Amino acid sequence: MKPEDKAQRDGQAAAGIDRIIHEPARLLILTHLYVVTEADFVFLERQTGLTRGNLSSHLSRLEEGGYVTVAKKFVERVPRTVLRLTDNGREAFSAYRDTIRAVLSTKGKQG
Amino acid sequence: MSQEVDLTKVERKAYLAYHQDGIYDLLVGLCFLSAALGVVSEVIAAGAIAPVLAILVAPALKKAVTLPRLGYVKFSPQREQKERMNMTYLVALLSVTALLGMVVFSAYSGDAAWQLWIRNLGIIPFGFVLAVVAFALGLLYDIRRCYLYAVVIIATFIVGHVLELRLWFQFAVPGLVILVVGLVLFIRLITRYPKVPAGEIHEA
Repeated sequence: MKPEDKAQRDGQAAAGIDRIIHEPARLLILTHLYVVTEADFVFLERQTGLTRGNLSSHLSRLEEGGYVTVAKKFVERVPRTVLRLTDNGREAFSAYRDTIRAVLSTKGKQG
Repeated sequence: MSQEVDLTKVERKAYLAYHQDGIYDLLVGLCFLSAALGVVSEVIAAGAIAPVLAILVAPALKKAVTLPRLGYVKFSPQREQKERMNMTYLVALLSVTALLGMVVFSAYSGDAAWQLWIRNLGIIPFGFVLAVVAFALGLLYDIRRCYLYAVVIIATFIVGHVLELRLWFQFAVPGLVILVVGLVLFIRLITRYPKVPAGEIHEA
């Protein structure tokens, strides 16, 4: 393969990266939601180490993108914000992992 | 990103966070100490009531202390299935343990060679059973400090038997070790993760 073809292929792989997910804080949030069925705000705050404001704004972005659903409910009269990955969010995260893998494997071979 | 996100590690870390509150350790430590107290005071009920109280109190403590600090999470169906399997293994293990306990107990009702052999071991078989339970908990729930508890229990029971120490010693030493570890974990949880006020609604 010619070097220019390879560079073009790498560029295409990198172009497929989901910009919403490809942000460290949002990636961290999605990673934690991907491995569980659902969790609340406090859980994500503790596990990710993000501040409340930061977490809140990134969750809003993910909710707008349709990756996360946010449900507010009361459990024994205590408010709980339950977050869950949507099917789209789950698929997007899997696709993101595949894309990153592809990008790293092609770039890695160049040394 | 220089490395792939290790999802298994993330899930394991989240799961183990709920076992790092020291609540079970505190309760188990107190059970051991109450058993020691029961031996010293010759009030067997003191040692027997503590485990029952611990079983009743543990879920309430988890709910009141751990949940508001670490948050709510529903783990994946795979994790929940693994939990159910672990519980099955644990029940099976405890059944075998009870059976072994009865065998040990029956050693005191005759003079057959095996009965004399068990009697010569004193309380070591009991310590062995407790150590096996601790080891199994470590293995099943991936809680590594349980291995330490298993070692401390069996070592204390053997040392106590060899040196002919008083019976309460065999319960007090592991009890203290477990209690101190539990206390350290509990204090760390309380200081590191302050309770989120109940009325605080988080906007996302």
